[in-house]
Amino acid sequence: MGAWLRRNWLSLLLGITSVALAVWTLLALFDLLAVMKPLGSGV
Amino acid sequence: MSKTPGNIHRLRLGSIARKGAASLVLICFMMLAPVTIVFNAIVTPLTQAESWHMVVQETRLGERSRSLLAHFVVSSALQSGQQADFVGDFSLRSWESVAEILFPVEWVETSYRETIDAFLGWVHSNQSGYPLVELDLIPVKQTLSGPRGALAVLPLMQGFPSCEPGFSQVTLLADQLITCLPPDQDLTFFAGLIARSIVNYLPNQISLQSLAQAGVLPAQIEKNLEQARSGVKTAQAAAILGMRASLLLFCLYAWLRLTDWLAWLRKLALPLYLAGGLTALLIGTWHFSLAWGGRMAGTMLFSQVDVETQAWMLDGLKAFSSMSEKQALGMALLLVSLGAALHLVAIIAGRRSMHHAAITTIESTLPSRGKFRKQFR
Repeated sequence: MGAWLRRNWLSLLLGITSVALAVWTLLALFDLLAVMKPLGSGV
Repeated sequence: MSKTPGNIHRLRLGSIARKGAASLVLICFMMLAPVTIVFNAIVTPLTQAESWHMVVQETRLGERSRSLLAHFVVSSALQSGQQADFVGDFSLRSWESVAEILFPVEWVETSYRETIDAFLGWVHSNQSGYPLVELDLIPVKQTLSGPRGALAVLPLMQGFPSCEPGFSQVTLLADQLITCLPPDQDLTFFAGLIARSIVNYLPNQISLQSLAQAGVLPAQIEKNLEQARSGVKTAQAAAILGMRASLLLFCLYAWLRLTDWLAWLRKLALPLYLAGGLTALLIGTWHFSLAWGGRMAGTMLFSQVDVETQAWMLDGLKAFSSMSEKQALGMALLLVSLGAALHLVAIIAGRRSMHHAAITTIESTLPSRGKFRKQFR
């Protein structure tokens, strides 16, 4: 496990960062959809 | 994993799939990042009060729009007091003379500053109804009541026709403020009279609410303002989404191209170069399009307004565009510099590693120190 971590720590870090960024991007998408809703309803 | 032919085939397929996915991610990043950078550079100044203040100052909007503002303020105020006929069809030149006396540039600039702050404050809030935009007319009323009031009104009276015989001052002021001038009368006297009458009709402040209540503003303006606010909020949310998605794509690319350190650093520079270069290209295209076709596009876009307004609208557009260009070019430069820095680190580290490998190889071919000593003992 220790040796595997030493060998693949960067890959693991980039993987975790990608997942975190994906969640962050999804949140931004939901924000955009929430803002666009009143625009579509013609308020 | 053992190196059986099946495993080697699987590894090769995996590597091809990884490279394909990395290329796809790179293409998506290349298309999204420059568009996002440019879009963000356009949206940010439009939603910041400081940039609007700067544009107002750079385009000398206060000075250039005084006559229009004078027309708007006096006509709106008088319309709310049912005195619309007075302002009839005076030329912009007449209003310019009025504005010179009644609306000092400092007052106009302060009014614009307050209006921008109030409007953008409203845009960024969830407050319903009209933005709390208010113009303070007390200084205008003070000038009108004084000796300069008659001087301000005088140019407006140049085009008044003579009254029919038998008109008295009372009849003159009964229905409308004034529509004709009795012959052989002192114009200055009537100008003073009109100035004082305007003071009576002008409120101390005019706001969007008061103008809407008086029916001066068209009914759909509240809906239009609300739509503009939704548009701004949508644009801001889209810019944030674009930035985060670009970051995600870059991170995915870095993950998919992860091999040995040096090759990885060199590969990381590529998307940064591409995004920076394409951003600069987009900005360059926009800059030259505006420089060559801006006037024509402006005339077409703002065809419903007069030439003077068209000119300052175009100047405003250019000032905003210049701010956006600077921001986007700064970002492009940052990306290219970051790419170059990664590239440089990879080159330097690569040379050092090659140097180290060469020394290790030479040392391994030489006899060990013990053996060497024994030979010469």
